[in-house]
Amino acid sequence: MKNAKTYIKLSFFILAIGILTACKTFTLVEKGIFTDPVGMNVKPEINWNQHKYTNKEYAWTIDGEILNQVLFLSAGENEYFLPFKNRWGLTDPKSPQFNKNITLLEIPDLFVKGVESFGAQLTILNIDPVTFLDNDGFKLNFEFITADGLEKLGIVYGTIVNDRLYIMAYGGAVIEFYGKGVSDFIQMAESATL
Amino acid sequence: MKPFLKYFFLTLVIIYLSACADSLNKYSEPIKNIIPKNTEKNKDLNTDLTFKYSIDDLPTNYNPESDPNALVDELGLWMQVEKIEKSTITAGNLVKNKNLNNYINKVFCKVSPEYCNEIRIYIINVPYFNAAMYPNGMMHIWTGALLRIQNEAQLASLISHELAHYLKRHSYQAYERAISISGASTIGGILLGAAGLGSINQLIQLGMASNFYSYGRNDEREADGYGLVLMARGGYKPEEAANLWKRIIATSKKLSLLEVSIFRNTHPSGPEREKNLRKTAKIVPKNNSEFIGKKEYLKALEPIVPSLIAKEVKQGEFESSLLLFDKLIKDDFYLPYVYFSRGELYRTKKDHIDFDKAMENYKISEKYSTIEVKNLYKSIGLIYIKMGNKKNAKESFNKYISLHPDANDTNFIKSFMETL
Amino acid sequence: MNIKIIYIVLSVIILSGCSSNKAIVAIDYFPPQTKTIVLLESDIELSEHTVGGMLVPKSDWTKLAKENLNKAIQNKLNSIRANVKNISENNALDQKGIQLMKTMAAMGNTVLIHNFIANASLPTKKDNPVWSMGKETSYLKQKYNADYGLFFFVRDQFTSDARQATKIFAALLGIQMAAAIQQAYAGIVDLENGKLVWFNHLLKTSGDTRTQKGANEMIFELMKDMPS
Repeated sequence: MKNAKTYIKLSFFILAIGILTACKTFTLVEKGIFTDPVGMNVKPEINWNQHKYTNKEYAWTIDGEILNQVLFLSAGENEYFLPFKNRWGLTDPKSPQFNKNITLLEIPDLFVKGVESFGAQLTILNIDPVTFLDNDGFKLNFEFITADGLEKLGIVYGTIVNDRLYIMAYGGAVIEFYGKGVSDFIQMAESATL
Repeated sequence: MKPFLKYFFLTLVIIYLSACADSLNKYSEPIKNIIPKNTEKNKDLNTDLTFKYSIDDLPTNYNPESDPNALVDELGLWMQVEKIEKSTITAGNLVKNKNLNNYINKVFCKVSPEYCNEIRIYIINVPYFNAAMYPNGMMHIWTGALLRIQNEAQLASLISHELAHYLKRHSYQAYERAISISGASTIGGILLGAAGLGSINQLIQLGMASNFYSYGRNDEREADGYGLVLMARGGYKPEEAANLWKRIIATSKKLSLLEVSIFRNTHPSGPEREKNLRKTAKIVPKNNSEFIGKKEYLKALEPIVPSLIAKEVKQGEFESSLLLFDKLIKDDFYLPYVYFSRGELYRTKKDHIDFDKAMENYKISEKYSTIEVKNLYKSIGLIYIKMGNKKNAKESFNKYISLHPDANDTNFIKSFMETL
Repeated sequence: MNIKIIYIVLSVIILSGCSSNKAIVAIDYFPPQTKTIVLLESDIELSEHTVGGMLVPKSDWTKLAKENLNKAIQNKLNSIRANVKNISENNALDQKGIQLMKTMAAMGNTVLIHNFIANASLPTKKDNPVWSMGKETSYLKQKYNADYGLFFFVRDQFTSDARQATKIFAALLGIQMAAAIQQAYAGIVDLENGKLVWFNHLLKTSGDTRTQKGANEMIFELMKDMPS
């Protein structure tokens, strides 16, 4: 009996410590070292902070996700690739889903639609062909205004490889913060491999 | 171990529920018939033929700030409302097109010369039918309303109705009612945008909260009555108020859960309202009140039509958008855009894309105009790809490129074609 | 019984472990003696919960609190020999100024989340918590002829579910605020280079800013680590 009680107390303690340390949302991404969030191999030249949402959704930031944010996304057949959660923490069924029949040409529009359903007003600046992950891909530049009226810029690289969609996106406030990470983002996106 | 698990689980549940407490709201209710069954049938039909709403009842110099009847509570609302106006001005979804804004203000001034330069009207890019008047003299009109309104007289009826709410101080009274009833979603929470994300919250974020406490039946009847007086005085045909309401009911038959909630909160009346409006329109004092203005209205809307319709498609409510587009087609409303967008609905449908119906609509749009709708040939090309017809797809994409050589995605499309 | 107690203790540990309260003071920050500080933004709001659970903003309380807090801040800044300026009605912000302020607010929110919530701290900022919005703030410096800009934010008696901005795209696309019973934060930006030279956050379950005493207490606590 006694043993059981102390065992329980001990496990609580361990649990508490475990939770406290696991409480860390952000981990360090060191510059100069290869890393592969969501399977995309990149080498950042500056330090970033990584926030793993799920296995297929990673975010990096320098100053905080509100100010600048890189997104690494990947989606397979019938998977959501911009999974915005509704009030109950469940994926909103209107989120864009990827499937084999969607062509690369349609992805930028789907991405834009996803962003706009958050209440952002978005203007596409241009969509250009680009080699991304050694494949035919697109590069999308846009500007947007958040629901609070903050002006931001965005840039997205996307491609489809083996029936899987891969996206690297970067966004940030027009004033100062977008500029802080954009060159490293572009360097990473243009040299990324699978 | 068992009791530990029980407490652990229980606490998780409590934490989750308390975290989600203010999320529990109307949206969890099942879809019901949003037109409420009329149980007061006889009471609602206005059998009294003397017109009870006189223009003299409306103040000509109403200044809410110096209103001696304003209660302290109302000042609390005022502060919130001033904040909303500030954020409205800088919000991304404010429609700024000068010509359209001037036109709407012109209509307002016809309806109410007394308040011509005092009331601020903001057009908000939200694809649902709604308009709201705030206690500080600010009016919001959602673009979803503009898309459903058929002519200038109907626009005038909407504006006069909202103005009547304002001049009869219904907003304050509704707010007081809301305080005492206290619904599930707090005004504070909504206005400060503190609730979590999701599309509905973005719609609400622009402070439409004041519309989420509905006016009672009496207030609505009063606003209808005085609204008719104002629009008739402005020279508009009062029957159009009834026609607008008829239009709204007709286009609301297939609302989704989300749309039902917005609709129900802002329109407590039912089909008997249309009957009432029509009856009252016959006896309202007129001043050469014959103007309908369909052409003028459509012309004024022109600059924002592409984005209006695109926004309607983007909200992804297939059934209700389809219904709306049917009505727009009957009205001869910018047909190249409406047919194209119907095609888009079929092409971007979540499950079972209907290639044939999409193409059918694109082809009709093409007959009306080959150049007006920018993305027409791009979408046709996409359908051909889905149908496996690469040759025609390439032809369509080439047409798109030749018609819009300065488009921002021509290089991407060219490169894409090479992979076909 | 035993387990219940352990459980409560556990919760307390977790909750306290997941929050901290340390002001940011830039390493090279010199207290603004004889310099001019312009009060850029004071976002203050006091509200009351009704019996039915609705939150009603109270403008008369807010007005009172604004007066009290302004006085307390003036006193504090005077005590470190800084000149304090207010923005007058006819020198209000224009479009550019508004964007700068929105960015500043976003920065404030960000610092709040990442510096004051232990489990959301940014590893790259650990040893050097520097946030800067860049030289564009010099626009404000010219406009108001001031060296530093002060902004503060106060919410009294406002409760909502405190969600951190960790939902995907939440941060990228919108601004969210965690809120509690009495919450305040204040920051000072060097308008020459946009650097956040000082920032502190206060979270309390007591205090009343409607009285001068309460306001003084809040400002004292909020700004006590401000170098002078």
